[in-house]
Amino acid sequence: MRFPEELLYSPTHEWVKVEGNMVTIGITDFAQREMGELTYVELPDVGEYVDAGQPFCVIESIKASEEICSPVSGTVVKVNESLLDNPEIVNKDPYGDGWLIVLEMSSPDELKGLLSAQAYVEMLKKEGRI
Amino acid sequence: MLIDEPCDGLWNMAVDEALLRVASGKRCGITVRLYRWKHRTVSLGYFSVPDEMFVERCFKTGVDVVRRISGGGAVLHDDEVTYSIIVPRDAIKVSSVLDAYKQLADGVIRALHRLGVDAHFRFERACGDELRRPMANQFCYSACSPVDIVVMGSLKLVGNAQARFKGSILQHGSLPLSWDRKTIESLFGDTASNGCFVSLEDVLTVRPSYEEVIESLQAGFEEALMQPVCVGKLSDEERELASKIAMRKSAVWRQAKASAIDGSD
Repeated sequence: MRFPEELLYSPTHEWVKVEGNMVTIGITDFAQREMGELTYVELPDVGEYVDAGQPFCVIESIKASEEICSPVSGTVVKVNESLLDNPEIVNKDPYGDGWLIVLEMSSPDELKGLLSAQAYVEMLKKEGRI
Repeated sequence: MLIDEPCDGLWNMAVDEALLRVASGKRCGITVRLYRWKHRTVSLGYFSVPDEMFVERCFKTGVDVVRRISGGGAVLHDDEVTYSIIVPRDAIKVSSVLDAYKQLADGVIRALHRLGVDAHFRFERACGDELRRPMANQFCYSACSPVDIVVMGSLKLVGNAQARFKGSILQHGSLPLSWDRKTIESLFGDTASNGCFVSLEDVLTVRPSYEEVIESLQAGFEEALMQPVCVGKLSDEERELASKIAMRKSAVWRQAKASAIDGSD
């Protein structure tokens, strides 16, 4: 399993890539493996405001639907529409083509509450998940 | 464990959603809810998109329609016991979605054994194309999924689906005591009653009573969880949240029903 060093991670298994005031958000390699092959992805509308810790997207695999929560607050500026027809891209490339949304952050301080790759791996180990 | 009286579909789904959301913020034990339906109801999976004619057919024949928060296709809830198993984050260790299905429904499999039914998950004994058959007519029971509980080779007895929120899991399943195949065909089409699914009555040749099934489920979960099951009630927090969810969804539901029956918007 891969956990790129340059990303930040949430305890609920989302990753965040920071570029200025914009963040790209997706689900981690651990999360996509645990879910299995995705069959559906529902994305928010561009312009929608999302609060940190609140769901912004729903995914489904093997009849299991899962709400994905945003690690930070902000306005959705871009969504990965290619996932609507090809949700399995998330499984194939969770940190690349499988990104979910781009947010313009309203409270960049919230990034301080996220985990480094090392801390995320430690959390997974501590919970006995890897 | 919660053992509920028959309720309408909207309330049944609102309670399940409330249990999952409350569990996601707490460190608490596993809740198993057993329930029934006041009226015949079709529940649609989170992503299932029924055609308008189907919803109209349901409402016109007096069958309610609700949406589940869990995945999967459309399920007709009629003569059955429905279960929801709610597991807070970290209450069990699971390595995959399939593993979670297996662990959570262990009590159901044990209950079926107690009733004299040799049942197992489809994915445990099948492979390749046998594991999946797509839904040709939206009816969940006419499709195959690895997480079906099957009997007599590959006949589907119990369908399962999950919803996950912040690490907590809700697993839905329905255990049919008998099937009204005429209603299934009138709602889902002639091909829906394709002989690939069965009820407890079909397997046991006699329909067990609700009480028998509920007793077996209670004992099955006690065995699976290796502890006595306490029958309780919804907490105030769960009931309040369920009321809010039901109220929010009832407006949408009323409008859809009026539109389907009268053609009004």
